[in-house]
Amino acid sequence: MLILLAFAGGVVFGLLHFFPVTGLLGDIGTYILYLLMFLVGLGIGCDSHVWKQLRQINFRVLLIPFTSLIGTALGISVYQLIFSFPHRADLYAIGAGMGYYSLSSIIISKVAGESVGIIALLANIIREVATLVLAPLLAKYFGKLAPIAAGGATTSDTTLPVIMQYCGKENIVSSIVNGVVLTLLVPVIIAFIYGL
Amino acid sequence: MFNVLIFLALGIGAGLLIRNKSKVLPYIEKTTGYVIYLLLITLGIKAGADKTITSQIHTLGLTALIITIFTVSGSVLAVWLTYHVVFKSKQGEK
Repeated sequence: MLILLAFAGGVVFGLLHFFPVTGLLGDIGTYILYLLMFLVGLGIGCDSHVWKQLRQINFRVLLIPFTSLIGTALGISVYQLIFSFPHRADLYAIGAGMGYYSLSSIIISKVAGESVGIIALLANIIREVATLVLAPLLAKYFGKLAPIAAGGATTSDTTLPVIMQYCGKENIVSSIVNGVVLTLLVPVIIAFIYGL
Repeated sequence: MFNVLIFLALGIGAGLLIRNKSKVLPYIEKTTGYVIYLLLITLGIKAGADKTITSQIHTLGLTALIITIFTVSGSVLAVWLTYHVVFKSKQGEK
């Protein structure tokens, strides 16, 4: 909820033209992104839990994030067939955010412009919120791995508590591995989609 | 884009160097959270000041919602098919 508040607060300041937007703020955004990437790396690097769990994983656990990615890509393809989005690459990049709204939306808005960036932000925030809200239903009707599939890159942090509750402790490692693998892959895949 | 990945790699490297001082991890995660909010605020400011976006927000929000329905359904169905139909895994049945 704080996530939406931070963004909404920013929008209000923007509407009031509280800060100069051209030039300076764009540059600050880039530097904040660099800082964020460094911090994310720092968190991954010094979390010995992450590395231990990465060593214990087997093929079947590792398959979840990749299956989930393929599923998202197929979902995007169906969307494209029905609604035909102006630029196909943008649509796949939005999907490739996998719920990692902060990073994906910033990268996408840098490449594809503000309005596509906003769609990426909203779509990936909705993905996280939907996972939090729908986890019990998904677990009931589509199996205990369904909330992990829905959560994408968020399953190693924000949606982990919900997944723990509705999918059981035996799926915690799967959830963390899924989140970590996708968190690492999101920037790489978006870069690949745009051919950067 | 390349710079972004360099900073990620630098972070992982630095993290590996200081990993034995594991008490810093909660602070790193906390700081990361704050920086994410900071980024979202700057993104919000830019969006709010951009007239082409504020005039389109209804369509953008609806587009985002529909895209998410497709991505989440795709992921859930793909994983369900793979693990419950192909593997007939008991892992998720407990």
